Amino acid sequence: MSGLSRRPVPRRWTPGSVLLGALLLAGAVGPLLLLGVWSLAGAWFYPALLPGEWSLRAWASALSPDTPLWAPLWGSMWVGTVTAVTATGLALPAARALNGWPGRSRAWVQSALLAPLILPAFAGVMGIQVVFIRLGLADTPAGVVAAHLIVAVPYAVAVLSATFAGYDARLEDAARTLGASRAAVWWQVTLPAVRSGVLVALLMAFLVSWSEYLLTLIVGGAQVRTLPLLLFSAVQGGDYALSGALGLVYLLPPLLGFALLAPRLRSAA
Amino acid sequence: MTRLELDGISAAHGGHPVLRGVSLSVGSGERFALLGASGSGKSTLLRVVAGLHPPTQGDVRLGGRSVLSVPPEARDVGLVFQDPLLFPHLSVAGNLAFGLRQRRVPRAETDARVADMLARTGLQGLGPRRVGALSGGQAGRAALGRALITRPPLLLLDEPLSALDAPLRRDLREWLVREAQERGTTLLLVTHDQEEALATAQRIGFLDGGRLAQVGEPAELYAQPATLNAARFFGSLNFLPGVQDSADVMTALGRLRVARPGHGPVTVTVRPEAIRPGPAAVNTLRAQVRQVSFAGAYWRCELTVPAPGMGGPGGQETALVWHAPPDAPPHAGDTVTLHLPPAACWTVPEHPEDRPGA
Amino acid sequence: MVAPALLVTAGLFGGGLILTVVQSVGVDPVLGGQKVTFAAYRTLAADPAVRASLLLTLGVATLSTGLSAALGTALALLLRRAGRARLRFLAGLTLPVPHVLAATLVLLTLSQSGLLSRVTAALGLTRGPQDFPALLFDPLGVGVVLELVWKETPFVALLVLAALTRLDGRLHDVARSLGAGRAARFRQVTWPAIRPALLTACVLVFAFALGTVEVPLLLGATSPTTLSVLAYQAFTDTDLGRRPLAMALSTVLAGLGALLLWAYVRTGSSR
Repeated sequence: MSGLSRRPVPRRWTPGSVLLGALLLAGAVGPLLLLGVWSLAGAWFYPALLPGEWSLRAWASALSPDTPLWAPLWGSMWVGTVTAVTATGLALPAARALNGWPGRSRAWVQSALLAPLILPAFAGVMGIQVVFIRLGLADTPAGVVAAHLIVAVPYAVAVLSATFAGYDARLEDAARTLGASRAAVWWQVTLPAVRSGVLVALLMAFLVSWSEYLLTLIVGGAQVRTLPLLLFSAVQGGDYALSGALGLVYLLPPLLGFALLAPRLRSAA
Repeated sequence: MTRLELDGISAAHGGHPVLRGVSLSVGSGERFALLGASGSGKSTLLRVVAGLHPPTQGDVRLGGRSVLSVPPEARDVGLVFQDPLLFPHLSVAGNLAFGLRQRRVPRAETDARVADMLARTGLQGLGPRRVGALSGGQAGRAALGRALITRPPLLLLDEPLSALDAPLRRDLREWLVREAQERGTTLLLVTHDQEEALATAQRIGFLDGGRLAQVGEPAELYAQPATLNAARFFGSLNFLPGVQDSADVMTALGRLRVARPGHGPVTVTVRPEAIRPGPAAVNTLRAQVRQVSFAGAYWRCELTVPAPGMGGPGGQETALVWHAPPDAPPHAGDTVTLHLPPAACWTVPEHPEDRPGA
Repeated sequence: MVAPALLVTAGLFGGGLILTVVQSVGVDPVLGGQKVTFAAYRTLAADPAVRASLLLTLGVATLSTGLSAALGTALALLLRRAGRARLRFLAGLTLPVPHVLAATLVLLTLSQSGLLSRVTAALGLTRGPQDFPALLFDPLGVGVVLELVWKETPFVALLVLAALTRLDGRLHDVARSLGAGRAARFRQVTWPAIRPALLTACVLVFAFALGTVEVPLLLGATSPTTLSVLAYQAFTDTDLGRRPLAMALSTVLAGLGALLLWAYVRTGSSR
């Protein structure tokens, strides 16, 4: 961006940037490769550096129709998608209203919206569980979504607030004087203008839900199964080959989303 | 092509009053400019007319009909902002077509009118471009085209294109005036730039602290400002407080013959270019030239008129600014004889210290 | 316009917090009618395990925040210097990795029979699994800290990098023309620009470290464990009599979070 263009950008890979790249590769990508190796390991005993025996056992058992993978995968997908769409839908009007909020009350409203980022979310969820039980939300995906929203909404608000900070609300005035109704302005001007931020907010909210372990457990009991719960028990059970396979399945969607949206992350967040 | 009437408009911004009882009438097809310093309430006034800012008092009438309850999208009033404010997600053609799309103009007609407007604004071939790829001048023209394409009978201009450099702005202004004339569009322009106002408008108004201080033809506001601030705004540099008694005012310079008779405390304002070299029957004075600087069309001379100025009682040392004609500039240290033509000695009924900080 | 979102964050969450406090003093919000009692808090105060847990929790949070902040800032400065989108992308790769998975990776890499231990054995530095330092499941929470640092360093780095990108590079030239050396330029130009972002990042990392359960469950010792794990265990205990204990622990953690929030808002407004 403009800041970068003022400083000379090195054309070739300097030794320094090569070293940094190698370190990042080892630190970030290395452990992920390790998952792949483990998922293909038949037997891999200490102190062997590579599996003594390769096998598709873990994958076969993870992907077979009667394994417990499919229900949690579906559960994570469902909860993550519904959470992401709902959180973004709730955060959009809030972030738009915060942009240009008059007076000092803005800081209070903002704090109230972002507090769950700093206060532990489970502390609130434990307390409200009695109400969820009463309402029949406990042990249901809908209840889990409600709990996930507590963390997902603040993230979406944070992302969209940053987006709206760079948004000129006079665009909406211009549209009104050109004959667009309030509804037309929202759909034809506001939303398209912040499209990048909306996509990033959707991804963030999905990631938050996809990663959530504790809230799912508290509200969903053992009834709502998601991938982190499954992976957790596989790791605790000591089956590292299966953990490797499950881990890769678990990792793929968020990594894909991140790779697709990475170019937009800088402009929106 | 519609008549705009503002009737006692007051408006507030975050609890602070911005407009205080502004009444104004702009005729059908007229080009009117509102001048004022920043913070005088100009932009708010336009937003009130467009329906984007509700007034706390008063009425807005278009073609004789009150439009206070009409939402902005239904007022059919075009508004061009300071910045182009093109929709970033639409192409140039998409931006031009926006207003027509809201009016559900058929596709074929929309395409034809967009093509026509692209040609009129000199943007041929740029229709499919993303607006981010436009130069400042092209974006400005696209913004004007977007506002004009729906043929609004009233076009509001809020310091349009003030981000552009002067020659570009002048071209656009000339084009805009031609377009407006062709269609009989009523124009209301607000600006702090006198040159822009004079080049565009048939009448101008001066907005000061949320009040409409004066309305008139450009020459009138120049030569006969109604208030001190108006005089300052339109370039008068010499202010001589005094007490008027019929045709004369007693000032620090002495007895000064002024343009119109009156009584009581007044301030005489004299534009620096109105001061003439040489003696005359009245208002002749001898002054010392302190400093001379070249200003292109004239020489700016800072003068000191020693007491007793024009002679007689009550005189004291006074500073004046004179724009001397370019042919024979005086030198610093010279003593010159000048006169202030009575017709150029305009009086306003207030003293500078009446309005602190003004 | 903010009402729907507030319904979740203030209504659902804030209301939940109030219910947590209510239940921590022994009142069932649905049935009601019980006497208010502070027995749960007395039990906590008397339990040495809770005190050890509090120390561990604060220690882990402080250490992981400090390390992530230092490494993250350094990484941001390096990334800025290299100025390459591909490196930024690499650095950001750990962001979407969920914590359960990150903890799994730390386990596979750093346990006594993990990859690193095998490498040191192959190099002849260690002679068996027990020879490799016990980084995980240790009473000091080293494993938990390592996981948090691995996950949060890039997070800090990207926030700081964003602040660096917003910084007008010409300010450096101005400072230089006024005679500022390298160190002075960092102190006077770079540091003030990244300080707010770094502060925000630190608060978020600290808050997450306070509240995480899956990471200490997978990588920490059974005892002492963090406050959030204690709360979770008391909550899921089949003995419902331990519920008020869970609520009291949650209240304490929420209190710590509120303190953090208060300090953050104060520093933010005093800037």
